[in-house]
Amino acid sequence: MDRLQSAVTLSLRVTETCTAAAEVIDLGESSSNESVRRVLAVITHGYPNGTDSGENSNAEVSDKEEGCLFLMRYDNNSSTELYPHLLFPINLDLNVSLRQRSGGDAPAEFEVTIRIPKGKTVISSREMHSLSAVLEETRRLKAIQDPNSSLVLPTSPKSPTGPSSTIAKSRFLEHDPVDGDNDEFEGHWEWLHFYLSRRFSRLLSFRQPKPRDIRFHTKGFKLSEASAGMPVDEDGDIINLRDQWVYERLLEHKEEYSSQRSISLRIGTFNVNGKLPSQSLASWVLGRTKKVSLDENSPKQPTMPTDEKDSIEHESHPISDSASVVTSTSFSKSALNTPDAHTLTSSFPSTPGLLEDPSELSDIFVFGFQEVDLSTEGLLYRASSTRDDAWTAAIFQALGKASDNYVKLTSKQLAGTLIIIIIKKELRSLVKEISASTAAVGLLGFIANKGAAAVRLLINSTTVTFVCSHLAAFDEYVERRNSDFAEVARKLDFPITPRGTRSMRVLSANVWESDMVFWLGDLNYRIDLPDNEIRTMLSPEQRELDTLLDFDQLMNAIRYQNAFFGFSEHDIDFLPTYRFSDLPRDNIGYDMKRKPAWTDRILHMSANAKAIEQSTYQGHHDIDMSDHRPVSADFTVSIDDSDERKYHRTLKSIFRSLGDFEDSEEAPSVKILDESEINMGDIIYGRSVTRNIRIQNTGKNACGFRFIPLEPGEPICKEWLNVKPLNGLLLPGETTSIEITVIIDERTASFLNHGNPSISENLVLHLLRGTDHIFSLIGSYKKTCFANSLSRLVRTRGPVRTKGDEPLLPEVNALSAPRELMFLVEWLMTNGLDVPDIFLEPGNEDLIGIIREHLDTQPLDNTVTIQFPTMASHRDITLAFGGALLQFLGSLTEPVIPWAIHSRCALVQDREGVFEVLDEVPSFSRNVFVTVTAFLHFIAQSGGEDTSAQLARVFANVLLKDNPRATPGIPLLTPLQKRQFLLLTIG
Amino acid sequence: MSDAATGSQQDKSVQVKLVLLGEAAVGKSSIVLRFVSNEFQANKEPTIGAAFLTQKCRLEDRVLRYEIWDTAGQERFHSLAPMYYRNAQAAIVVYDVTKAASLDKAKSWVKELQRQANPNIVIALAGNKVDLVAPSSSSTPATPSSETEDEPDDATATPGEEAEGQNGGDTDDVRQVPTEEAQAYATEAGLLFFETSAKTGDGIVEIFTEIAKKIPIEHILASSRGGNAARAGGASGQAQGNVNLTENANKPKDACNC
Repeated sequence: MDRLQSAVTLSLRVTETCTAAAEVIDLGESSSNESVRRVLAVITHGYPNGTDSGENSNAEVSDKEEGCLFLMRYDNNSSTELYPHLLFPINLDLNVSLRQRSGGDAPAEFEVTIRIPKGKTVISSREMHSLSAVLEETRRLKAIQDPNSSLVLPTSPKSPTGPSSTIAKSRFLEHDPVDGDNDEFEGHWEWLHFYLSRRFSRLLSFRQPKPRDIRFHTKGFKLSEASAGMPVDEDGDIINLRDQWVYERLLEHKEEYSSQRSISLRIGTFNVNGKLPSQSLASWVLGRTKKVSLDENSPKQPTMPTDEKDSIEHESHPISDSASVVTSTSFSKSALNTPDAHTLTSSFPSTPGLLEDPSELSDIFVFGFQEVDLSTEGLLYRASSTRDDAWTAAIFQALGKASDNYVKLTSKQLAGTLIIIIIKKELRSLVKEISASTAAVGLLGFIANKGAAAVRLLINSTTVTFVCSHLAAFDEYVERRNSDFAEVARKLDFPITPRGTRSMRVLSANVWESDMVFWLGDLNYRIDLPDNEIRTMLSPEQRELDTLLDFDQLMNAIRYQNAFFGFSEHDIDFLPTYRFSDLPRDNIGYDMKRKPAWTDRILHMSANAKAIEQSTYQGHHDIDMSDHRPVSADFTVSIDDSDERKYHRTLKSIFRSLGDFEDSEEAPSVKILDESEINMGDIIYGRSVTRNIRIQNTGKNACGFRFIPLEPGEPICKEWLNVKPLNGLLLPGETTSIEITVIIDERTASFLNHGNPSISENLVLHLLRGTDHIFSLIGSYKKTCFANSLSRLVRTRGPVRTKGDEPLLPEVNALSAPRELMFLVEWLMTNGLDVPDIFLEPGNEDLIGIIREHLDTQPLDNTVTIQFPTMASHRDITLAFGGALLQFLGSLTEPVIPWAIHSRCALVQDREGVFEVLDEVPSFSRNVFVTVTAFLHFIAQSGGEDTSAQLARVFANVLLKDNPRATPGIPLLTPLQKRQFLLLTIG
Repeated sequence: MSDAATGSQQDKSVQVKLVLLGEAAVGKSSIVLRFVSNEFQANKEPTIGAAFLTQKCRLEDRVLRYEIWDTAGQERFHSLAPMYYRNAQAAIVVYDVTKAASLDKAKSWVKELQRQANPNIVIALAGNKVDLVAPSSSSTPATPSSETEDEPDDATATPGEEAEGQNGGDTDDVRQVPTEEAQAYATEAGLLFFETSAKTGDGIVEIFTEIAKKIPIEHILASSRGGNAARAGGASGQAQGNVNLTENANKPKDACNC
């Protein structure tokens, strides 16, 4: 059964089977001009004799086999979940014709027309192979229905003998799928009734043998792209809203059906550069912080682990068998039986000082290795278990005395990439299922020099997937790494057995169908800064890891959603783990030929954010046998143990409260309890304003609601508006409060500062299968000199708030510098020189707000004094003035030194060069720059030795702020270049 | 900042930080504008804080590059002045010949500079707006409106009005500060002295030229090679020879690029 068939099968009951399926494009969809991806599948009812595998279903059947063509739609939020969209019983009324579409180049495209007496549907596909399988099956099943038999499609319609053809949108309400499997599927096509009710999916979503796609929880879920008055897929939206609602209720009622336990988990990753273990791995395996054992003088030869292979494969999980058949290579032989591994591990002394109190060690250890085997054979042929055994033995040796308490659970290797999982013996029984998968993404897309080895564990009721990957190398191959990641995620395919079914079918799960995913390995992401800058930042006197991490390619890939989106990583406070070599190297020990980088990483993602807690994340620089250093992380994870029967009881009661939600014919009715004009009042930069509107469901049925944009394709609301929740489900009589918040940040202020200050926005609340309500939101924006532009401020006739809308001064009369800036500098020069850590300590935001208000409304001629709260000390006020200056400069729409000349600034070597660059900028920019740096120079002179360096560091990202819209990569002006540029004037 | 870059080139320009000080509306910005762009602009907006410009000129085989810090004359910006004149090698203190009080202010600036600034600072005193007064001993009053700066904040009187209202003692013109009086003060205080007109250009180039001659260029060069051009100080050899401005005062700015 291919992957598509098994995806289809997941949405079927056990009484039905998918015997053929093809990816198609629905051409009949009139609501949208985009092509819609569908799956055309042949579904049969009745148990064929013998095997249930699709290929052999030609075998004799005991009952007359019935088939139906299902046109299935993908769930909006998942690339794998399918729901029936249209059903065409395969009877004599059905006519399917195929023709090749003319025009266009290869590959050939086929058009399939499905005709029933009530109408037709046209789809197209390029999947010739699977499409012909579908047609073949259809022909076979139609022949079964024909008493005269052996007729070949296409044929003219015969007199109907089956029930009239049905389209899925009709409603059948007899069955309550929650009440369990109905066995009364007798007579012709009655089995289809189940699929014709929208409620059938209640069963599917919550009785699946695998967790929901984990990205659901990190990305949120999508509804159809409706706009005011233009619903798109109300039925799909209803199902999605319902599912989300049910998930939330299930989480609320978790204690009713499951218990939790904490498990400690230690994860490590190590690129070993082809080496075999040659030194103790104790600090990496055990962690550094553990206490020292007493009998440190009696190094003990660790007992080698007894392998778990037999027990795994003979447990009542047939899937484990298939796993090893399908993906093989993994479950290794006992390390004891491998003499050379044994010799290797005993050839170096263990580290007695780290022998452990076993109770303090983690419950589960997961170790990922890369480059365990660099040989060509390793890449091309199935790996032998030698390396696996050697590293397993080394791990057990590092465990010291505690190794007696552990067993190897499983391991998986793909060429040089190896993952080994070790568990405390007494916890072995918690692991209910193990499956493994590999994905090669190296040269030509399949050579295994790059790729991943992954293991999926079902621990009690929680599915945890561990992926150990080695992605493309070299600084400039960021995009390759991003695509490697996507490719690995796409290729990994874990065979699983649906629990609680009698079926022997082998299904597959992808990497996302987990409750938790841990992704570790040599991800090979580098730092986008010049080589010398990285080394300077790493030097002991500088040690600015945070600055380097701003340019970490992996963090930027996550930030820009290019890869690893949704994954979390603990803060990094260890030095880069790559690359170390003998010679030549810099004085920290890094190879001079490669930029140091955090190539080795451990990331995680969880359906429930609270279920994972990370306590450590460190590099182990004492283990120096490779050109990488190993990395480790400690986690505590919460594992569920659910009782199936209790779970279904809870689920049932949740569903019962929904009543006839999905299939109700009655229009929903909702009452807005507050006025539909929402007055936000004064809207001020940096200060959020929140209003609530309450809505009540006054109808008899549950009601789904969602906010939709006024126009198709537009956002639901302006980016400075936050509506929470954006959608939801209300039970009859229930009231909910919708929170509307306005937050004006730098970006949004920059255009509000130039527009009309009276704000008027519309929000459209749509009731599913019902009406739209429009809320109008009004407010008055208070313009500010923050998030403004210098060129504008020098031509404004007075305070921004009162004079901002007057015509600008003519260019020749522009001020030499903004009044607001001069006011701040003047105040600091007069009053602030006695606070030595000005700019280095943050100012109080409320006080900064008072200062900003003063700047925005007062003439700034010292005729009005600012009123600060009496408890604010001189120091507080001074720091706030410092903060206000930084924020004023930092929020400018274009920095004081404009982006256009940043690359020139990078070349400046001396003070004269600075002034040459300044000759290029508008006079107001020059004046502001010179004024600020003159002031900084003034305070640096009276401050301590490194004051100017500290000030340069703080002001570098303010006066020479990067363009937020610049593409990631090495910046035009690096942090050190910025600071050097400033130091030429400050220092 | 690399020594190689600064030190190796012989004709690398010498940076001279020059600050303009003086009461509001005496014409500081106009003097700079005349020197840098050879332009004059009536009814200029008051300077807010400070304006910054650069201008190169040639002194024998050396290129001299003025960093000119044109400060605001308004009293409320007084507190900013130290950050501008700190490390300045030269200062031009400007007064308005039609406004006696502006010389008093100039004297207090000189005092402050001599007390607070770089001890070797070269100070020039400039009596501006001589176009408003009769040339030398002439008694013909000039057009009073010729060079007024509009500083609504605290420039309380336009020089013209004030001059006509109060003056007329020894001459008919609006001059309130006799040349001799200012010259005597300058000599006593050790200042260069010029009477100037930013409007006509009189005396403008001369004042910058004479300052350039008096600047201890070798010392600045030495200290800039040493790594900090901003901090010039210490008495050392005076530059000799004539300053030779590369651009003629009547040529546009472009001509002075060297």
